[in-house]
Amino acid sequence: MAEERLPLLTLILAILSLVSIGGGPKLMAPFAHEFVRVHHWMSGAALAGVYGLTRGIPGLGGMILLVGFVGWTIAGTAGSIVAPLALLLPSSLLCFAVAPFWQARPGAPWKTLAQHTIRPVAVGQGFLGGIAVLHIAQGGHAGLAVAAAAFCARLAGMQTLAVLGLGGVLFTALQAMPGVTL
Amino acid sequence: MTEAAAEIPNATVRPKLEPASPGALFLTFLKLGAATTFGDTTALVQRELVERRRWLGEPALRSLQGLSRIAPGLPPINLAVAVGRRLGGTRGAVAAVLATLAVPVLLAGAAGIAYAATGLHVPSLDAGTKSPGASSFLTGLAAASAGMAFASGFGGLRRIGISPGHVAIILLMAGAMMLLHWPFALVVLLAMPLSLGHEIATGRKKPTDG
Repeated sequence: MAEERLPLLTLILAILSLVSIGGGPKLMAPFAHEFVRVHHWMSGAALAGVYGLTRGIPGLGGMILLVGFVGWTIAGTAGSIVAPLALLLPSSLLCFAVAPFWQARPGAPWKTLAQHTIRPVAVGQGFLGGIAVLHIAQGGHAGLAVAAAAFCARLAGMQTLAVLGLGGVLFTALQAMPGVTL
Repeated sequence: MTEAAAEIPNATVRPKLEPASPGALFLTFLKLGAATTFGDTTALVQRELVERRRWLGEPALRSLQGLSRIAPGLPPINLAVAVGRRLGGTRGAVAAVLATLAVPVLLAGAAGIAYAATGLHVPSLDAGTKSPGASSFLTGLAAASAGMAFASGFGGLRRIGISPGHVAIILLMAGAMMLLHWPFALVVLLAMPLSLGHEIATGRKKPTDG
């Protein structure tokens, strides 16, 4: 069954590669939509849990781990290798093709237009990712509270690992409290 | 952005640029790729490529950094592709990308192996069988990371300007995704022309060169 999913998984990730701008949270909305809601290849809680765990390794390492893990869950060992490749190759090839054109015209107005057009959409993708993770994590009101606290902590400058650790502890504590309903 | 002004040809005396040997290219991007683990590498990239190695002028690098951020995909990879191609053609691009990925892939691989070794299984945790406490902790991690995603989105929104138009675009994207259940690509396809229209309608505030 895992092998049957591999072609479709590859296709989905290849398309994502070309429409997802920037990494991290921006992948989570399409992941939640495709893998949880549409194809039922993973449970929402599992995907959310993997995302949370992989934030412990910031940067590219966390991204590769996230995509590799999702690929492994959906399509086994082959999936863990193909998934990151499917996500990285198309966008890299596109960038390779575009880079010389971008460089050749310093200060051209179309570049500024492109940047001002694309950046709001990229920001939107980030928000969508946050919404998606919160939704599939199904943490209820306690989850909302933890997300809100994490939002504030982060804006205040708290480090990633601290936010994650405290969030995990806080949620567990909230859940364990008698009378607290999800 | 002063990038446009700085790229007027011959406006300033430019420092002599050095050629990039394949080995040095690989080593530099190996370092930069590993550094992404510790946070934003924008300043480090500039220090390495412009000041230390002198392979690029600052305006050229900033231009490529701008491209890497708006092109689809992961910015550090896009930057490696673009800079690698400029400095060493196709081979340079391939070398730069492989170098950038080397340490992150090793880290991810090590983490994956460690995870497999502990015998934790996220799907079975989800079933709540083995350890409810760990399952709660994971959900808490997820909620916290959602909060962090919102914080980073908010930071991004502040950088582009918290205007009604920008907020409207984001709300429309969220609505299409969460209420109408549109696929992601379709949401992006909707958002781009809206954003373009908004940009044209509000006019470009900063004068551009040429």
